[in-house]
Amino acid sequence: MNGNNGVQDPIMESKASVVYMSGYLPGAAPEKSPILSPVPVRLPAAVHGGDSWKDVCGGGCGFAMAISENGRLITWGSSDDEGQSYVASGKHGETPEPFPLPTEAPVIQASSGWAHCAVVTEVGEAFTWGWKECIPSKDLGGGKQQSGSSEQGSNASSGVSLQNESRKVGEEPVKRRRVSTAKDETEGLTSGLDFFATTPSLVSVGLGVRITSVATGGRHTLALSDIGQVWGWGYGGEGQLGLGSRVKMVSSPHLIPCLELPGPGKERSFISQQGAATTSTQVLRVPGQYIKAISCGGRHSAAITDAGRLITFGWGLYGQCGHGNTNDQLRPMAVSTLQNVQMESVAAGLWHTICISSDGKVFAFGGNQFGQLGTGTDHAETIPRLLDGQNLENKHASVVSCGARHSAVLSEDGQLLCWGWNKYGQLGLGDTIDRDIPTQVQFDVCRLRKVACGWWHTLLLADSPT
Amino acid sequence: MSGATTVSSGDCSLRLPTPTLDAESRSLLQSISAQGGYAYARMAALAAAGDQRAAEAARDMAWEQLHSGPWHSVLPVWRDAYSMACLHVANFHFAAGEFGEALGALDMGLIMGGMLLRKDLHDSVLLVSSESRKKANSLEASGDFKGQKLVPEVPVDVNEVLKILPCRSLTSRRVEKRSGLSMEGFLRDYFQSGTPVVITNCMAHWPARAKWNHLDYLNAVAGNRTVPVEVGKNYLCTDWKQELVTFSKFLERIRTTKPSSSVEPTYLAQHPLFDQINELRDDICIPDYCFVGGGEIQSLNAWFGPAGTVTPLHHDPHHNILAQVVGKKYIRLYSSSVQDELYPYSETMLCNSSQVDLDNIDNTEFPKAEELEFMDCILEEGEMLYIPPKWWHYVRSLTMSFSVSFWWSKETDSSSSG
Repeated sequence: MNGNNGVQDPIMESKASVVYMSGYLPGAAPEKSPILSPVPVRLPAAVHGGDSWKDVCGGGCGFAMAISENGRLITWGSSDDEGQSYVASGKHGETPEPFPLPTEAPVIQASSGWAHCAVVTEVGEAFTWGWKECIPSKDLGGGKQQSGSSEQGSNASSGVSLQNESRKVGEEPVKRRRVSTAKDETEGLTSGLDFFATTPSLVSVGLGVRITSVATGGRHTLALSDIGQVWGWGYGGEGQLGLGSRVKMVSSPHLIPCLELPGPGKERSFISQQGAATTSTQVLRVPGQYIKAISCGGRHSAAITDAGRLITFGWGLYGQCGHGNTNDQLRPMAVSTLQNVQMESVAAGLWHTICISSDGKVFAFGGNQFGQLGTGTDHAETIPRLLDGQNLENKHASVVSCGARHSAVLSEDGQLLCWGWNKYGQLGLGDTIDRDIPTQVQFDVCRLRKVACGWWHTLLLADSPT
Repeated sequence: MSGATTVSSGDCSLRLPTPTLDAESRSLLQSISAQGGYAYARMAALAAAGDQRAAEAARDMAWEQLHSGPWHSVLPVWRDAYSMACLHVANFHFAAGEFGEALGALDMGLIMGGMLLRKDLHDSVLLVSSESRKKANSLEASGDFKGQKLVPEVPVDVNEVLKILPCRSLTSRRVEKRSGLSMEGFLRDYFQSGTPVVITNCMAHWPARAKWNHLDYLNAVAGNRTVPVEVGKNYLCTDWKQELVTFSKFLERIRTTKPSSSVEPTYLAQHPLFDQINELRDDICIPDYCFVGGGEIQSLNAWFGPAGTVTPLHHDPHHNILAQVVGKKYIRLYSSSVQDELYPYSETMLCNSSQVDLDNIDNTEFPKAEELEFMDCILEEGEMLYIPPKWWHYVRSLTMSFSVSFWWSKETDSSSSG
């Protein structure tokens, strides 16, 4: 759910970095209390020799992720009594350890949803694992054939299974339950592998397509390619995959038409399939040639074009798409009230969206039940609202990140502001009181470089104090 | 926490009766794991082993899942997960003698949870309530209530009422009133033709008629229970919100709401209160009319609030009988054949609501609305109003008012309405 500029922000200093964490990883370390103020995270001994932290990547519900200087993915989080680990965080449980990936290539970026993860390596490959609903199925359409056809956009429905939702919702769990009660009582909960993909699988979007970043939502995933195209898969019931319909499950990556056609000459058949009337009357061309940043909320998605326009799509009940209403947005659409603002990056939570402009201003919209918009009230906003309270005055925001129900912004001068739900100390303010305005986290030990919120926690990357 | 044997030895006397939970929890947790809820399953297991913080975290996780998507798309297993966590949380409070908190947690399970553990929740409410009464050393609800009446029996002063009601109220067609209407008569003259009717003298046998006007009674049977209420002018207003309060606090609020005050009214509206509070369910009877036409009850809702609550003009997909138990209401009805003239909202969520504010009609924006034909009535205590499906209705309470709505449909109707 982190704001993410496809371009990596290199951390120039060669000196060691430190990672801090506040908040709570449910399922991990039950005897420990939630961490109310940021505490350092131990660098795993296995990678300690000459290695350091490079980046923080938030994490999902019950696990945290970061990247080491050598490009190894480091995870920590819950494990259970049987030694059967919560799959997303690795088998080692709460101790930060490298997560085994089926590649030697260094990881450059990582993202996690509620219960699934995705990473991108230096060579442009993406891997994903965790809750099976979110993982592209391997046996569908036959690998490259499949992705080839999607790339051409010649067949929008290949690999898209329009499942009957009511059946899926109602009968399936019941059936499973009945089966399981009939089984031996001692079987317990160890069969998590049925529902979790433990081994990261390579995401194939087509020959020669290099992925530069990934974004993960509650049940869906987006990937951004080196030519600025966006691919999506997973659950799309509210339009969060931007395919123009309520697709319950997209089991292989599909190209999302984020920018409309420049002209008839370059027509993409994907678009023309949707019905010319709708496309030509409803969707205006979005300024920009390619997408430069992506983010996923619980059930909505956001992207920024190279021209700085914010595009959103998906679930809209709380106004989280920012189009002035509470409808689901089934196709990517530019947020019209921001048309004169150059957007730089965007992040989203379960019900809300926060974006920052190239001149460092912060805008918020969507659900606000816990103050996660930072507007000083608990009213939802259906159009972007500029946060201009005193704590943001004269601040140039440079990094934005959202947890499930909280928000964080890091300013250019290294000051950290957090707001929203704080029941588990995720804001790092030393207490468990929710904040409805951006509130400064006193952090004098060392200079902050990056903030990345996990589901109910927050990770900070800082220069080593020495 | 490998092999941590958290044996809660000794103080096992105060445990809630949760036979369904005990029998079903393993398979329920497995189903939740299948939906990605591994962290929940872990926390719920720790809660069962005596970890109170884990119970709380499990409840937060399940709550989050209940709200993580459109309500209809929430997997039923998460509702059961929520009930399960509420039972765990309630158990810790109960063991600590915190009966109010325990009841609060159980009520949340009843309000938002699933069907699987409902009996455990109800049984636990019974136990906690009785322990709580023992502790408070208060008298059982004896049914003999002589205290102050909530709403005095005063006839309506039509001239006063007309100052509050929308323009043209009580000037045109009135809804027909029929005393003790027979089933055949209801079917033939109203149900089949889709015509509204007020039925009088048909609910004298309801225990609620004798009890619900007494503050002491309501406080005794439900005072400690948590209920969801609406605060604000009506649900179309921006500052409208929902809150959870105890029933006694709610009663205090509506008793002290002055009709003219600037304080926004609190309204217990459209809540299936009778699925939650069994004692109140026992006070009402489902009208026989609801079984005319081979239909099936879809929902029973309570509508309880001070004078001046407004339900804006909207329609519902089901047959509806609104039974007036305490107080009086003004109701205006527009035929189901009317559509464009009432300017329904275009948003999916509100497409059954009219943009026309009858209390303040904007004739320039909604010119067709003003002259539309309608029928209306003042629904008095002990009367029932039949509202056919899709008929537009506007409701305003003229006194403090407690009504019950019964929605029913034929199976074919309900499947099409979703």
